[in-house]
Amino acid sequence: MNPRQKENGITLNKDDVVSSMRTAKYDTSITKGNRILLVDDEMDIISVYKERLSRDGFRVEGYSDPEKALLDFKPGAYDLVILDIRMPKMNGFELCREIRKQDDKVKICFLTAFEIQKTEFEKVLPSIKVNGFITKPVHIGDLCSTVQEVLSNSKAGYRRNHD
Amino acid sequence: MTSLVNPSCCEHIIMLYNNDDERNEVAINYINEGLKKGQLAVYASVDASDTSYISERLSKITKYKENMNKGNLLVFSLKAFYYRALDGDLESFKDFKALLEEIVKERIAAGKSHEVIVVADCADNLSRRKKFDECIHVERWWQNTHFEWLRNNQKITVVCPHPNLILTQNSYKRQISNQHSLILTALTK
Repeated sequence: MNPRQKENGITLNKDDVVSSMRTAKYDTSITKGNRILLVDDEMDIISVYKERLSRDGFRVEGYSDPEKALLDFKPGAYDLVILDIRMPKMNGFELCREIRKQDDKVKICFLTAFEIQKTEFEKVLPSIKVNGFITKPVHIGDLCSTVQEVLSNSKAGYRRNHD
Repeated sequence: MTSLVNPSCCEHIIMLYNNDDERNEVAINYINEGLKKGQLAVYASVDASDTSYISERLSKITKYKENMNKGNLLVFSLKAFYYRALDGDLESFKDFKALLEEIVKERIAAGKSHEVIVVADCADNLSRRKKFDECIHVERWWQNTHFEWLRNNQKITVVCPHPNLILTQNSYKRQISNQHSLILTALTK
């Protein structure tokens, strides 16, 4: 592997790969078994994320077609949904709204290439209830801890305000 | 300054300024004018995450806290955009475009004005640091996006400040201006 590979929003550092193979940076017993739905139109992103998250005990289902993901979606089947924003047929915002109609408990976060505070996002897009953002490019070595952070933070964030 | 802040809607404007005070004043004027018209005003700045710097500017925006809470004003950081643009990577801009378009849809559904004014200074920062090729790349993307919005009848105006002197001295004024639909030069008081 090259010392640094960057493609499609995924950044791989040699050190990241080595450290992520060696040990997780958080308690994996907490996240083990968490079910994640990942929707991104780029198959290679799904493949890399799925492989990395599965290694730490997450159970990941990946879809490259947002319409198919919605068709197969079952309320209560996931702990976290990760959505890309720009996708053909249906963008991540639309998919988020549709998922919320079926399941208002599931945590949802967006994969974005920009940074925005959740509070600011909710002010300009109040119809979209989101729990967090994963900012691209994602360092693959930090992916699991970032997901874990979203899962933990959201318990005190959106859920408390809206339930 | 009045003629500067009242351009026709749906333009991609290059606003050539002569000094920082002028740049900041005109940017805030555009934001305030947009808010007055009920538009969504987006202040997208490379410096938005610099709290002390941005708070001084925000204090000049009319009822900025109230407008932010009502979702009429969005202050957006372009810091990551800037660094990615240096690598020729415009993915952040594409996601930002998708976000803006979604906000417009939501505003229409809520019965709010669907007009948007965006003041964005990423390309300005590239110009100031003489990264002209990267700057042209960004402005060409904005211009293509502007054409797409026009075709789709989306009323989004983008204002891009640029340093008049630096562009003139480096012979990039025409090339960068040509990537816009409207050229305005700020007049020093």
